[in-house]
Amino acid sequence: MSRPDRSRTSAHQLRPFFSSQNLLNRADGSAQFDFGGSSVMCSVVGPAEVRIRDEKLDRATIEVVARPLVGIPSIKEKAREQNIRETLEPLILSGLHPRTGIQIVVQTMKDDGCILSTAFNATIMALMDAGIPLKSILGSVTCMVDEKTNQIWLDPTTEELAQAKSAHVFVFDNKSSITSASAGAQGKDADVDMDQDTVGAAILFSDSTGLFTEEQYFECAQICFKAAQAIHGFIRTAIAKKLEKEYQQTHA
Amino acid sequence: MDTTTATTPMNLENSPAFTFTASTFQKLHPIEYFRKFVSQGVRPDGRLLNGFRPTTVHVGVITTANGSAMVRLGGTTVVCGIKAEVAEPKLDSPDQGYLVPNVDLSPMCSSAFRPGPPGEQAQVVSDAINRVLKESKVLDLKDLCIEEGKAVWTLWVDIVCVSYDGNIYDAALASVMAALANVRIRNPSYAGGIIKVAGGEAISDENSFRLKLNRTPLSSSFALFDTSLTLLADPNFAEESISQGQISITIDEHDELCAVSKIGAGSSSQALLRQCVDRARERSKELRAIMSAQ
Amino acid sequence: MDRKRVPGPELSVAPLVEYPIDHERWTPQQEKRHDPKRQPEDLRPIYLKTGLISQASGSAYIELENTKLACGVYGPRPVKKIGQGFSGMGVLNCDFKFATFACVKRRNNTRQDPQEKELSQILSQALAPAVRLELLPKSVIDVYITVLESDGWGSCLAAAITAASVALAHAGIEMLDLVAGCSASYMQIGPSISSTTTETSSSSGAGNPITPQIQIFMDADTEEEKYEQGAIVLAYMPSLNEVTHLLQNGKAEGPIINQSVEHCMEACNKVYAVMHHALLESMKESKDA
Repeated sequence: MSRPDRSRTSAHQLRPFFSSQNLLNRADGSAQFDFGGSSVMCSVVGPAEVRIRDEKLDRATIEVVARPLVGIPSIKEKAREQNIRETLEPLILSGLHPRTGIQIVVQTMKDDGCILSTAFNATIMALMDAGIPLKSILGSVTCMVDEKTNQIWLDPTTEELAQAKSAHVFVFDNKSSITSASAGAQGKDADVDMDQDTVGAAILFSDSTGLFTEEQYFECAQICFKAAQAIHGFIRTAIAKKLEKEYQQTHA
Repeated sequence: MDTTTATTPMNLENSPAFTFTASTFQKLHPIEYFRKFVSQGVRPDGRLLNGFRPTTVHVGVITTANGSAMVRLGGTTVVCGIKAEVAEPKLDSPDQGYLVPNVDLSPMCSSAFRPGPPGEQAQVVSDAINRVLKESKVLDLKDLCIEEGKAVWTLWVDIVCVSYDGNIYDAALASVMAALANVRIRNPSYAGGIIKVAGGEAISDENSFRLKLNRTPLSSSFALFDTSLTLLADPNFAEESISQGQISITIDEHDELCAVSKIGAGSSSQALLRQCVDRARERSKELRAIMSAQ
Repeated sequence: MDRKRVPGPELSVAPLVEYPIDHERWTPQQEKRHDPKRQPEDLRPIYLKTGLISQASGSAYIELENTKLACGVYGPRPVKKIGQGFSGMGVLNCDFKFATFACVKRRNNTRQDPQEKELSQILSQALAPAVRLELLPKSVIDVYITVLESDGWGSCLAAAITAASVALAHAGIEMLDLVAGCSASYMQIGPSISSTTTETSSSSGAGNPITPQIQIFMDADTEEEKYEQGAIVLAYMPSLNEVTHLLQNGKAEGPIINQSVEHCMEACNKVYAVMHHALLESMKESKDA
């Protein structure tokens, strides 16, 4: 069964993705992340001074500003800001920088579906570029269920999303992917009865809309989890390369 | 009872340095106070961890609106009023009406909100309700067409929070669905660019129409407390402010999911999400029974 | 365009309502009130309850049939704005708001409209004399009113005054007395009043003008307000027998105004009993809890 996006042969194929870091010289860290025709630029400033009103005594204040492709921000961007901020808050070791602020600006550059996922990936790259201490890294992938065929398509384009019955955004961190790979040994959920068959990857963030069944939801989670491994690997390689380059420059 | 009384430093290991009354302890260490309850499987307000607060639904409470409902979820009270007005359709959808939900969290309902334009939480809840209504196709917007390309109905769905005590999304969505089911619009007539409705006689099935709702999505939210990610169903204001994340499951009467969102806190296992879906299924049945009893 | 709300169409209007020709509308000529069960001096039954808003320091909900509003009081709390300077007196800040669906015509809530601003000011003027603000330096008391449904402009303001003073008392703020609010409208019961005695009066009415008879309707609803010549809203402290605010609009002769003020004071005493009862109930509830 082919999908509307002719460039891909498989339903479970991601679009070619790439990223570049350190593009903006006035920000402490920046990165651009592309999923095919979608692109998001993210800049990070901080830890820097923070307005007294927002100051937190025991940790850094994280502020996310989302900017749309065109026009001024609407409530969609507000929801995106909240999604990104609340997902990153437990990830950033903000206790190391009390009474400071970390500002993250997420600017959509090109929109061809999956903007939230692209933004998540761009943000984590930019945070690493800025040298903000993190607990773990994350990878985000979107998928959808086709209205006619009930097929699950990974990383859909805008054209494909128009015929979606439901759309699902998932974020996974690399820490839980290790633990779930080792036969779901999660000490966290001691009070939850662990059924070996239902144990899947731990989900850091999930946002699904449309109409879908419980089975479809968890199937999507599983497919996205596998795809997110590619993102995790990519981020790891990108960071390794960057560090290598930096090492060469400083020791040249 | 004495507050902040130092005990004699005889046995430091066994006796706490200070003793507090419960309410002082709650104010000083809200999280630790809460943890003590959770470890016993209850919450300070007497609920079990998966218990929802008593819920009441009243429809048709506002006579100046075409449809209205008041939902009380424990200490949270919301009123949803729907007014139907006539507008020109969009050029790219000449036969579709508008459905415009907006949540108003005024400074009256809690000191957490400032006067002025809607704050972040109000915007996010409005967006979430808007998306559920649109994406799960609750209402066919073509039903709101009066004259193609000329005039359509606009349903202004305004949700006013009268009293805020957490879990606004569940309460707001329930009030929207109850109010939508309560809507009655007088049959319009179109002539020469003017929309007229007949007044005078009392509204009845002959001179008015109701909305055809494809489904009734209702949501159940759970707060994620502590690093152990303990689920707290239907969190109140205090629980919301000390929890790290939230899971919301929106489900319709055909047992289909309409929205799932998990935000904040650490990674949660899929078993935890399944647990939420199961609980949400039970809860939405109970809530549906409350709503249909009206 | 409002970017902080779900966008709707730029322009939308209520449909025109077309009444059949034989449709009988209520007019004051019929000598009866819009609600035939009420006498001119009757108020609508009042339902008043405190403690609806769990997060507020004090709150009240009031219902006069179709007039429904909620009031929340926060404070006294420190003045937030820096640079406002020291104030030896507390500040009573009132905010009056209509829900978009509260009136027959939809209100666009993008900005506080002038009517809401005016009502906020009237409310704070009516309440301030009763509150012992001199005991609360450097503090502010916020009184927020949300009208869920309005059936009569005057009755809405009166209900807001009543609810707000009960909410202030519920918040435990020291006051000299409760402030009760009441509204009255002057209606012209035209020459056709004596239509029962028919011919003679109507023919003489055509010839030489008869001074129209003015009737005072207490607590008028929207339908009655359409025909009013003028109205007053009185805020009154029943125990002290003092008026804190009097709002008069429209044209009326002096004696009529005097008469309606007296009527309102009487009615305020009735409202006062209801307020008392509501506060006693809330005391009982807090004792039980």
